[in-house]
Amino acid sequence: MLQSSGQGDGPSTSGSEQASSYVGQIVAPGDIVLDLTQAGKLVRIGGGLQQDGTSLVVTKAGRLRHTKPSKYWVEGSQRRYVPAVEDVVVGVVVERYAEHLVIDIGGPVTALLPALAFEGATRRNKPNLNIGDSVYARVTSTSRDTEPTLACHDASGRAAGFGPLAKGYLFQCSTGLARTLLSRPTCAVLEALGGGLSFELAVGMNGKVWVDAASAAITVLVANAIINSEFLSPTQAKIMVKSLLKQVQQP
Amino acid sequence: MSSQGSLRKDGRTFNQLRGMVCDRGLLHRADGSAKWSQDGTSVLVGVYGPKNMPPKREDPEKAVLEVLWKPKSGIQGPEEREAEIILRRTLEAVVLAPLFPRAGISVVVQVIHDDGSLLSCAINAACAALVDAGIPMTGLLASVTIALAKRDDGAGGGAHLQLDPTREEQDGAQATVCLALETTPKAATSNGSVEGEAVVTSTTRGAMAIEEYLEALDRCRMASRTINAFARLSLDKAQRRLELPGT
Repeated sequence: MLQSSGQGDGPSTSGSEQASSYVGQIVAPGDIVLDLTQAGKLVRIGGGLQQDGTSLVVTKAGRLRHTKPSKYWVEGSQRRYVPAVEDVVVGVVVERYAEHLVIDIGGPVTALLPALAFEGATRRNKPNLNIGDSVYARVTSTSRDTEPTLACHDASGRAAGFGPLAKGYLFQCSTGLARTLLSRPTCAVLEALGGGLSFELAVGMNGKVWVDAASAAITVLVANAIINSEFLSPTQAKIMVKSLLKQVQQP
Repeated sequence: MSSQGSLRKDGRTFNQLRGMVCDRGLLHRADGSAKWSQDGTSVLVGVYGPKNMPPKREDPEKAVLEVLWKPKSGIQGPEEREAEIILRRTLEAVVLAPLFPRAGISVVVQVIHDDGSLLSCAINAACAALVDAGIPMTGLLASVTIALAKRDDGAGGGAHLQLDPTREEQDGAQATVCLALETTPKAATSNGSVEGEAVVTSTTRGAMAIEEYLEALDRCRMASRTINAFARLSLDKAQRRLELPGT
């Protein structure tokens, strides 16, 4: 496991940069995963990592991920969401003002959704959201000292699926499960559920999941299946969904 | 030294830790939780946050850490208050609080059973719970208590330092030292050299000679490596369990 780089003395050229030996392994806070003097010119880091002088230090437990050429981040599962730019989130309106809405996204602080951050919204014509309504939005900025801001449109101003979520049922799961639900190819539970039922689903990286279906029974079934799938393997999940579907189709 | 005479009441050698058990994420409503047991001593810790704090208590520069110590029975006394403060200061050394200004992190410690080395057990449990909650930290903590047995016990020649004492040993001791160390991480640096464990907290009770303290510090260092190795193993297991559906 502890492999020192082969060519000990020769200064590494920018072409021969190599990935950290900890990629794919489970790391704990304090681990030094990369020596920046040995890495290439540019290293991009995501959540769970911090630069400390010339080394890259882990701050959260999880699995170290890496994509070429030099992106590093730590993937772990946690209950409390910490906002990151470009995450898709599901939130609940908690306060309403003329210029903005205050949204609870389950993070350390509430988020801000400008009233005009919807597709085609103008001062005269903006969506009417009330306290308690849920929205599907994108995180546009996160700064240490200010509240995170959201937007209900993509970078080019299109709705792209974002916006108010009418009716439906909202529940909370861990961020790890939310990431699994959002991953491609579609995860086993959703694949299996989609095969037998029709429903609408909005998953936020913050672990809030919104489901809507024709009847309350189906909504509850989908929500339960998703929550139960957290610690199941793909095969187990399929079997679980199958048995649930049987129950709903019998009466 | 390894003769039968140098064994302690529970059959351990003087330099032996008790068996450790660590369960992570067992509380449903907490953001992170862990139960850490060292044989008879057992502590359950729940972590809540980072979350909003009442405006009176928030700090514009960093997250506020609050520790609540719940004794096994009855209400909090001065001892619990002291433990709260020690634990808070210890955790503040490793938690990256400036990342969440104006937020708060609550650490609730529930003592399940006290059979000696309680503070150490609580520090280990709190560290595991913070990791489980995904609170950014600079490193992991490992804490060990050492009791200095009274000299007239007949156990001479340096064998009077008892690692991870039980309550009986602790009560009969001339002095006890509780140390919390920030453990040495795994490192991929080119030269492979990482500084040794840094002392974060040191609390002593009773009187002891300087040499004895330094000896205790040395033994805590060694023991902290065992604890660190165990904590990593348990973390590894917990993470693998979480990842099952994806892989």
